[in-house]
Amino acid sequence: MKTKTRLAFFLIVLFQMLVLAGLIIGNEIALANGQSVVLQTGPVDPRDIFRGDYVQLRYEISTLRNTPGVYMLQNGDTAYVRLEKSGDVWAAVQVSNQRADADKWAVFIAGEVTRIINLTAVLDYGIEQYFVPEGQGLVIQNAKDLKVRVKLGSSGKAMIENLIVDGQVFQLK
Amino acid sequence: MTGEQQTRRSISRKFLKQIETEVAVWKQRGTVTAEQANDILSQYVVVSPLYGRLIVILVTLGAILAGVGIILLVSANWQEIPRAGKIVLLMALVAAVYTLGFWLKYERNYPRAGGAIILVGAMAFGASLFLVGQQYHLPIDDPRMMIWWFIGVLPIAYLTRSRAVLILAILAGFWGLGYKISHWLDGMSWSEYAFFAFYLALGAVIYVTGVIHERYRRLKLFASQYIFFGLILLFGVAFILSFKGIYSQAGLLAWEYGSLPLAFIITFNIAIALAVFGAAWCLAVDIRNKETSPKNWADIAGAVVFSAVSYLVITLPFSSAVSYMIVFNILLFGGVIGLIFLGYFRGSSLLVNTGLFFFGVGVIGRYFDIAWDLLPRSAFFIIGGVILLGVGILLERLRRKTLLSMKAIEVSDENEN
Repeated sequence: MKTKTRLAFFLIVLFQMLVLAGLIIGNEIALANGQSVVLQTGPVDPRDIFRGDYVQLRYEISTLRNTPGVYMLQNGDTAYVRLEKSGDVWAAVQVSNQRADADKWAVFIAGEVTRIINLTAVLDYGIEQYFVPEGQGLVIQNAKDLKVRVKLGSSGKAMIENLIVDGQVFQLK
Repeated sequence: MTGEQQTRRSISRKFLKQIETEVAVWKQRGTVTAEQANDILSQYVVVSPLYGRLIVILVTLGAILAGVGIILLVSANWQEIPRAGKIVLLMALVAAVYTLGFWLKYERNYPRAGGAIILVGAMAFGASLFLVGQQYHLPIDDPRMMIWWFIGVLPIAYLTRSRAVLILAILAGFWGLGYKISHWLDGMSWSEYAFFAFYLALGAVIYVTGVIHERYRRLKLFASQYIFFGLILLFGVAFILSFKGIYSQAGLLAWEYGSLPLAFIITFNIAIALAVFGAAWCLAVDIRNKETSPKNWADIAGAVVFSAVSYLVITLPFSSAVSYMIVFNILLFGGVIGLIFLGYFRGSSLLVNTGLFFFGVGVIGRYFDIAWDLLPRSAFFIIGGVILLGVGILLERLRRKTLLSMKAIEVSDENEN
């Protein structure tokens, strides 16, 4: 009985370790591959009880005004946003809720439509929080120019690679 | 200390007295020899219940403090160690804490301290998940972390028979599901109706899960945790929906069931199906055990009624807000009265106390609903204060009477036996 309990217990612990390892490997693979783009953003600074300080980011591409294709979006849709380089950042030039459209574009990011007002859509890309060491949020908060380098997977899913504060990569030691 | 002494079972003084009486009778009848009688009695050791409880309280508080400490350590986002190092370090800590807890609980016979350290392990696993989220800047409302926490620690709760770990698992699962649902309903107008409907169905699922646990000897230990959470959800939501201001005419007109996200509709219907399936399972067990008195199935039927009513909330078939208010007041007060009666007949103080609590809350809610617009503010507060005191005294009397008469029934049952 004790042997069975021991075996079952350590199998569950092993399962928990595998979950953690799986999450780490999945994220590392996403960061190692994919297209790198830089997006213009701006900060707000709240705190999460479990994970500590973070900077809430709002991107220029978070709000699409009159962008071609925005008329077809509805709340809750997965939206594919076509990106093109404009100066040193990437900007939204077209949007669609069809993956088939996105597959024809060279670079696109996927997000979720959270609000629609007339021909303006608000999107969430899952990269709206940047976690920082305790008390360091203020440096980012006071920045004049804030950009984020993200990695885009083949499905358009974005992951934050690093933060660029006033032209310098923000160093997390 | 010998191995035999180490395996002596801790019991209360009252229980030891009962065993001593029984053993004396067996000895007299010649069922056991004097040596065997001594052997039986030597297997038990008396532990004061107060002392046992103190140990549980101390080790559980210690576990919670240590667990919260680990989570805070993660949230401080220390930068001295590189990303991979941090996560591997925390994983090693999780494994070490679990091993220590297991060793103490099962190998060294420290069940309480070992159990508490296993709880620390379960919390440290959650902290590791948050660390992954923090290091890769995943969205804070990402439900996956909470859901993995739930899936990871739930089997630990059952294997180690730990109610504290079960509560942790239920909270994590509930939180994760909440994030997922709010994600699905984000940006939808009047989405609170869908929220309430879902939580009503979820309350029924959790309650029925508790009732299923009650029917199996090995699972009974966890029944009251599920039942308590289920009742809080069912009656909490029914209470909120019993206010007249919850339903707006504009909301009722604008509502379209069909515009809800498909994933939400599927999840909602799965919840309803689980509640009904669970209820049918309980009924089948009762029929097999020939225990089909209304005392056994009344609450299961109640849970099914509650989950069926959630369809009213999600489809919104009535055009007037008053109709919903009436339905939910009947559901709330009817349910509460049924719960108190059921608790009384089953001798369950959990059901009686929860019923009385929601009865008091419901009465106060109706007072706010009716009197807020009708009375001048000073009169509202004075009358409200008097009503609160009155309801408080009434509930205290009712509770005392009910619990006393439940005890009287237990004593008379014992005497008859």
